[in-house]
Amino acid sequence: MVRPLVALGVAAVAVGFVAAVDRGVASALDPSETVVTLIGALGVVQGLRYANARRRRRREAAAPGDPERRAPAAVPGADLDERIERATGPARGGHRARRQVRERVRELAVATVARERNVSVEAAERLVETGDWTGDATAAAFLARSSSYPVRVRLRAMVTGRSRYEFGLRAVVDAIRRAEGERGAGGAEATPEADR
Amino acid sequence: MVAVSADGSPADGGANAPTDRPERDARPPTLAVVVALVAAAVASLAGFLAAPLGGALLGAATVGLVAGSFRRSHRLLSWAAGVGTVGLAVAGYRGGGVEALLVGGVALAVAWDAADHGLSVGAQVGREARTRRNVAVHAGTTLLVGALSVGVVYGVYLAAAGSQPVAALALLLFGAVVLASALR
Amino acid sequence: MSRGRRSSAVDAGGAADSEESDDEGSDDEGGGDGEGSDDGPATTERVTRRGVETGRWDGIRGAALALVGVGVIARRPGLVLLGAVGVGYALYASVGEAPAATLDVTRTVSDATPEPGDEVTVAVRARNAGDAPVADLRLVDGVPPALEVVDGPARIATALRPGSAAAFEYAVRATRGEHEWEAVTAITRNPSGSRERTTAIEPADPARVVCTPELAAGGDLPLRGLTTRYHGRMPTDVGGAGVEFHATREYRRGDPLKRVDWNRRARTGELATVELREERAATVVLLIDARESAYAAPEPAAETAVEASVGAAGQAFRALLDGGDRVGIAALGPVDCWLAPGAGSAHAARGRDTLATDPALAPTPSGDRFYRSLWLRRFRRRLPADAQVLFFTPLVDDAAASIARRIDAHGHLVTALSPDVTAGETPGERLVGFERRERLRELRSAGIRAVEWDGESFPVAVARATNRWSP
Repeated sequence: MVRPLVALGVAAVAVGFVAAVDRGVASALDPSETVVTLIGALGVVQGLRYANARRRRRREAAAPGDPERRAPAAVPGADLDERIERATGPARGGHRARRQVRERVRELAVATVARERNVSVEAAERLVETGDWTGDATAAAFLARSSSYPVRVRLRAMVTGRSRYEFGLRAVVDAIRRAEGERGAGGAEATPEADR
Repeated sequence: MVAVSADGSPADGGANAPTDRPERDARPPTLAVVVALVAAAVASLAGFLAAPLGGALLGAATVGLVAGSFRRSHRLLSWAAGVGTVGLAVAGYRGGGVEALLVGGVALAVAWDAADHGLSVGAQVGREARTRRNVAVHAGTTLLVGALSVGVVYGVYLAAAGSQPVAALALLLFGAVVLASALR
Repeated sequence: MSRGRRSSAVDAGGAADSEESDDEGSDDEGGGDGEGSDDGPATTERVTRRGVETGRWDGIRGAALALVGVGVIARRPGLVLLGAVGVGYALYASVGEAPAATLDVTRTVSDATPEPGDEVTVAVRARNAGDAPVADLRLVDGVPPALEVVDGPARIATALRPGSAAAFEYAVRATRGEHEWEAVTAITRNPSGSRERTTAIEPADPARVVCTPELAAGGDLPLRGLTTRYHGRMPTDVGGAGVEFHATREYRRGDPLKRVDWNRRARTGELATVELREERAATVVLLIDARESAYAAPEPAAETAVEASVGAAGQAFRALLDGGDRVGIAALGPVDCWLAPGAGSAHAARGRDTLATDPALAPTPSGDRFYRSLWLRRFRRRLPADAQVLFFTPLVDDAAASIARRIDAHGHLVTALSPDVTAGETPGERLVGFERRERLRELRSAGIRAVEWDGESFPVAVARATNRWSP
């Protein structure tokens, strides 16, 4: 397929050169106007096609990075944020990420409730499951087995195009913060347990 | 340079604030942008002399090259070069002078090349570093190649003045097209 | 130091680089020229990493063809000539490989043993040792990851004729640790820029700086409350000199005045002497969490927990030595680090070096894997039976807390000292912050003392905590 084409091309170029030098050959060939125009059009079409190929081509270049800057430190929770991103996004594996994040949050909520309300872990688990551990309905819905998100949140999620899960997660984080803050309001570090 | 008082006690409880250095300046070197701009202006002028419509298109290409340099977009630069080429084609179609066309063509090539080269130097090395020599050598080489090509082409054109056999030209083009598609 | 391979010996003028784009080209000849390269003066090692087509001239052929086509259709010679010039550029783009970066690179630092915070000027000089010009050369120096450049980029773009050289300078700010420079990255292109080659160039003498901070005077660090409250788990019941209250007894002649119970004297008129708990030298091991997770900070550019821990450990080390205790240092991490407890000025110097330059406490993570149970077994074997452990950890994962409990369960008094490196912006960061606080509480309820500090200085946090603990 390729070889005849190459031969044809080489032949055309060779005859072309001869014709350019030898007037006699040129006048002997003397293609008609239409043929010349057709060849020109062929050149334009093919040329545009080749030039257009540039659009698909990815530019390659070395990226030497930024050795001048200090190697960036990991921010604690950045990986969790990534997982949350995956959980709230439309990507594949979102379901699993959602479950994992929810479990992690639940553990935290249970521990907080158990400590702050001074109840057993089982009781705290029940409180979290029924949603009675917090006054925030959105936060409750995020961890509860049965209750559902308030209409307000559903509407907002629909309008903003973000997932209800995201709203729930933020609400839970705030709720845990509030639950924690109910007691050691004096200072975050001087937790009462430290005093003996 | 002022030494920050980070000496002595290595840990003031994490208060050892890092100097928040801004990002490295990855914009193209100034010289590259200037060269691109000057060359593009020359191309526009030449295009204008050939045919005003072509000159207008080349002016648009100049704007595109500047915008591409500022936005650091290779794609924008490519589009600008494409518009410039169309401008040259229009100027030629409208019967612009051969000399003006050739000057415009080489100027456009130098302009795009300097801008594109500037982008890659900016990305890999940056504006703050010493880059003048590199940019100057590159732009000079491109100009030289253009001048050589024009010399050869224009010389042949003058030598065969008045007697360009269309047949030979058509055959050469045909051969080039066939070869180009065969050897891809 | 770490890089022993000097095998791809490059003769002065030759292009020894193979054309392969992978970087293993030098390995097979490693055995052959191992003998001569040990103390060869200037063997710059060059490895081609990557060669690519940049694609920057793509489409020029098509544009040229189209111009000629239009010229033929319209019978305009100008356009045909223009297309021919385009063909010239297309040829230009297709000729020439990206040149091999046959450069001899030297790198010098202005001060090999700077103080923390000092600016060190680094001068790099690259000479074209090949016999072909390099029309387009970009050099990026391999600044050590833990150092920050404070003046000028560590880069240059230039063109080099054979034998000519380019030089550039930049300044880094010294921080704790031993920092070795990495290879210089050289990016070369052919004149048209259509092909590009990346070469790693290892100078014969990779520069190195060692920055050893002075141990901060720890006099104001009230660590006595942290350590000597128990003596290796065993509180002495011998009254005498010390700092902690034990009992009062009748005044005897010769008792120091500062130990007279003046309150009692004011109340009742009796003279009584306060007996303090007799003190014995404690054996303390400073254990620093240097696992990859401890290289964390509230912001990517901020000081990591390892850095904060090492700084605090330095203060504790000095304070404990000054107080007459025997102190050792260990790292919890993939790289082994153990300085057995000791005392004296020689030990102080060893401790200072360990904290500054031990690879286990390097300012950036080593990337090796960490095996917890192996580490724990070895640590227990080394730990003297009566040793207490001051465990510096950011507590950003459960493993740290569980290790504290395991050491505690093994009969050593453990005190967790935790720099707070959690941020509070995104939900994930906040959750991790909650979890860390939960861990602190769990440790405390398990009877392990824990101090955390954040913003305020380490001594202040310790002072506050010990005030809370003292009876």
